Amino acid sequence: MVFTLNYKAVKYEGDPSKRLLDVLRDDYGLMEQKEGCGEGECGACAVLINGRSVNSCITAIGSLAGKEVVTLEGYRSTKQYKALEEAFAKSGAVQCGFCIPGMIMAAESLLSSNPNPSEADIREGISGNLCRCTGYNMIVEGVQMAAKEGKGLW
Amino acid sequence: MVTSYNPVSLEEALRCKAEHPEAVLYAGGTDLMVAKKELTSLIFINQVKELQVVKETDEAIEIGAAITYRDLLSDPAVPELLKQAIREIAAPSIRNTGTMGGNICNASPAGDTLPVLYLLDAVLVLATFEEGRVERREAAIDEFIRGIRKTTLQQTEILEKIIIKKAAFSKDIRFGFKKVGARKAQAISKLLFCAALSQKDGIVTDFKVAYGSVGVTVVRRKDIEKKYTHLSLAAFKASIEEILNDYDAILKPIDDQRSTAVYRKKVCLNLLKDFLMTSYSRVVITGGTLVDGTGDKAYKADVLIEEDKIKAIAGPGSFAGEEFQDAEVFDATGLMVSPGFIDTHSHSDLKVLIEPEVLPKLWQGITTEVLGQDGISMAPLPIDYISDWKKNLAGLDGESSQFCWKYETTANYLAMIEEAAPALNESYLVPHGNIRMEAMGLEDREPTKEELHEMCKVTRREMEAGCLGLSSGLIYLPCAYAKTEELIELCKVVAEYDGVFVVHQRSEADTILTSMKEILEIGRKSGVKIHFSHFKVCGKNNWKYLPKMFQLLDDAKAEGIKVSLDQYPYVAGSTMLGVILPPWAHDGGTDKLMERLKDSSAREQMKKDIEQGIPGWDNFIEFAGVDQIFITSVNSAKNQEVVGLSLSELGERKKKEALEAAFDLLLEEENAVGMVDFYGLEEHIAQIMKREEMNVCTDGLLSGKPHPRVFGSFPRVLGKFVREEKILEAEAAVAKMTGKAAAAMGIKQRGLLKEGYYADLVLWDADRIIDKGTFKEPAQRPEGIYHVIVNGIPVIKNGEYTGERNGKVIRRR
Ligand SMILES: Cc1cc2nc3c(=O)[nH]c(=O)nc-3n(C[C@H](O)[C@H](O)[C@H](O)COP(=O)(O)OP(=O)(O)OC[C@H]3O[C@@H](n4cnc5c(N)ncnc54)[C@H](O)[C@@H]3O)c2cc1C
Ligand code: FES
Ligand code: FES
Repeated sequence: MVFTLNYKAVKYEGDPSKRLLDVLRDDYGLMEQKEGCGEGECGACAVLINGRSVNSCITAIGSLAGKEVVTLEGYRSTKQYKALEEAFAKSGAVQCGFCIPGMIMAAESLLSSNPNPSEADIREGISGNLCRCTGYNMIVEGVQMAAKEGKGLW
Repeated sequence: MVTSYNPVSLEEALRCKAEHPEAVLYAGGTDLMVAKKELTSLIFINQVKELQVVKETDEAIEIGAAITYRDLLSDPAVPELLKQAIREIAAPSIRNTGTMGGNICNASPAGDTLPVLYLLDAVLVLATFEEGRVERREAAIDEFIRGIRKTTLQQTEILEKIIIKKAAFSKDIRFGFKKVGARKAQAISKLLFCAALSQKDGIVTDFKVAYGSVGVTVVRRKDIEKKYTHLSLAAFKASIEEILNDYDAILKPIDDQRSTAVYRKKVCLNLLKDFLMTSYSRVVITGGTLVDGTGDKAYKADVLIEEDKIKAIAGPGSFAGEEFQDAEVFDATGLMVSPGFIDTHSHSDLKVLIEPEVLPKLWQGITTEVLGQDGISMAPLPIDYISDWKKNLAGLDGESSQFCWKYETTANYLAMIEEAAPALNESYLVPHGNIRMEAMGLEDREPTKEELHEMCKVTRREMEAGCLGLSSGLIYLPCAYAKTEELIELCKVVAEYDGVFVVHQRSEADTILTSMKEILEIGRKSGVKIHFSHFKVCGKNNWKYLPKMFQLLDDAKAEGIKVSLDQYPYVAGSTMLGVILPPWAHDGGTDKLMERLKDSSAREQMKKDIEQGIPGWDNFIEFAGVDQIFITSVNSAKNQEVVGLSLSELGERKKKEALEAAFDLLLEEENAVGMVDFYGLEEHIAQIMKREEMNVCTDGLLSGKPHPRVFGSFPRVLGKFVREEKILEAEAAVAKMTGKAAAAMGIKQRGLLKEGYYADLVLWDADRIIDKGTFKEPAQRPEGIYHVIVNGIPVIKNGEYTGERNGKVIRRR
């Protein structure tokens, strides 16, 4: 089975029912995606599939034939990531950091379809991502700031 | 190892399924992967072309089973009702892969698209590959789903598409939809309600109701529906009780840990009742005299209300006859008909969550309140400050542990009000004190540049959430710590939204002129609209300032500053007893205050400051005196006996100096003591009332022993100041309770009797209307208010509350 992983075509020949999260870790050494709940509830394991955020803990690798998967490791090289990273730092969105990879993915997924989100849009956009530390306000602000300061990127 | 197949065409997929009937179909995987069953063989159908299309025919829409929710949401052909249900499903990452085919075939009692599909009489197309070709069968959704995770899906079948007839979602049908869940995202739904009602020429053509998550499968009872379809609309409306009884008898919700069966059933029936009451509701008001809120001369006319809006206003008798026979008629002969009153200064902020009827307001004809006053209210509220803030708020808004205080933002707080379903409309000002607390805590200092920036950001966030403007109360903490500059910066943000700055100014006594100048300066520098709260001047020595106060208002308006003000028509005010203490006593919050009240040298200093005054501080003891300040509320049971006493009487009772006794009381009650103080003259009230920029308010604190204004402000203006003392014409007075108030607060489409406006109305008797409450017995219903209508639904009929709660949260648009 062939798919694109972080902008490169790769071939996968293992168990098609294996969770994408495990494939990323075991087969490709990509560790940024965290396992929080393992049941699709927390968003810590989110990656981008064809540009949209998806929880890798409830995605079977076999469903991804021909699709484009981007993990945080790959996304880091983009200007969009830089904008989000800076905004998150400025707004104090990162505390323990556990939820952040997933938050970044959710933010990218939102901004790519809605570059000027309202606060309510942002809250909805990250509603599947749990953060144990911040109470979300700073994260919402971070996304808002990224949208504003990274104008034109999305 | 698990074998898998990745078909791209339906035929390929069906062949595969026919050859491997044991293989499991995988669409989005969001149910499958959570179930964590042992899988031996998988067919991925997420790339099968035929399952990915939405097709429109003349009669129907056909929706491919494996289209993701995300794509359905952006498809204009998909019925809005279905989209409503989809939007409530989980979170974006789940909707990016989850499918309706999966939702249907999983057949969970909590599947959110199912009730809508039942309601719309969806038909499923199931395909197999048999004898060398693709075979199809159709099944109605309610035949297909047989129980929890039970369907009639055959081993070799694939759900290809879902067909919904266009007639089932035509524009003429009124739909009701509501998902009640513990938390919006992720919640496995507690309960989902949807319903449809349509009529043609006064005959009910469609009546359908479906409930999700209350039984093993969706509850839809065609037998009950049939009983009421084809009735005339009037007969249908008359049968609402009966319909509710029918559903009461058949609904048997499961009792699980998510919510109790009793609660679920109650919610089910309330949602249905609400839907039935509001759909196609018509109210006709005949024979009345319209005082329409503009200030124009009253005139005789009839009013037709359809659903939540005023549909038409026309000469007497215009809405009689056959055509209007389904309407509920109010005979307003001899009565005044005016827009519902708007209370621009209300303190129901907490009460509305626990007693959403807010009866003291409804009884006096108020249909809209503006909450969030005086710079300290419910939201925003950072989690770390909850306990401190509850104490700070208790005197104004009361206390409660009946709801969760971890809502943090205005958006969430407003959603809680919505969930509580208030009987009247509620709107909100973002309070300066809450903003300050979130940005920099409760300390007595100026904000740093960063903190000020942060405060502006919070203000912006809360304005985005729908606040009408900003409020401050410059005698309350932490607002009082703010300098003018800080307020100017925040008001600049508010001005961008054309919001209003509603302010309890720093002084209503000795330094009132300086204080007004400060506020007007804020208007000048920021461009914000200024609204002075409960405008008055306190204390004998200060009455002389009144003409100068008016001059300041005139000058400001001449200069182009937008100014309005509100007033409650009483010569006594009510607030928290804590205001008698010098400001420094409150530094650092309630806990610090308690320490100081225990410390004898601090008490001495307080007494000294009260006796000698501090420049710029409104010293209540000085301008009202200990015999003119009365205790109206305390929290503890043991001190209830002192409620109603003046501070001097309190001193006598406790055999102490009045101030010492008051300090003790504040200490024992942790600052939660309410008071009234007599400060002014009736004549001043009349003068202020005549001002063009004035509108009426209650400033009503609902906890403890209330001020009579909570029950009577509006009827008092119409009874005492209009009828008895002839200070104002009724038309002008009503404008000051409705149109002017709406304009001052920026509330749209309310406050006037006008076609297309929301149908908030009050019917009252000009000869009888009067307030009844006194300072001794404040909680008395006024007289002369007969009917009150909120968003088209009568909530007071013949002076009695109907039990309906049809208020909305009004957000700035
Ligand atoms: C965190 C989380 C939150 C959720 N919240 C909600 C919620 O709020 N409301 C709600 O309703 N659901 C919710 N769900 C459940 C789930 O997302 C939905 O039921 C979704 O619609 C399932 O679709 P799917 O394509 O992912 O199904 P899959 O998991 O792919 O399939 C589910 C079942 O249906 C069968 N199937 C799928 N497609 C077909 C087909 N075309 N023909 C025949 N059989 C088929 C599969 O074999 C499987 O047995 C939630 C799930 C998670 C993980
Ligand atoms: S670990 Fe995947 S959503 Fe929680
Ligand atoms: S920063 Fe710790 S979980 Fe979000």
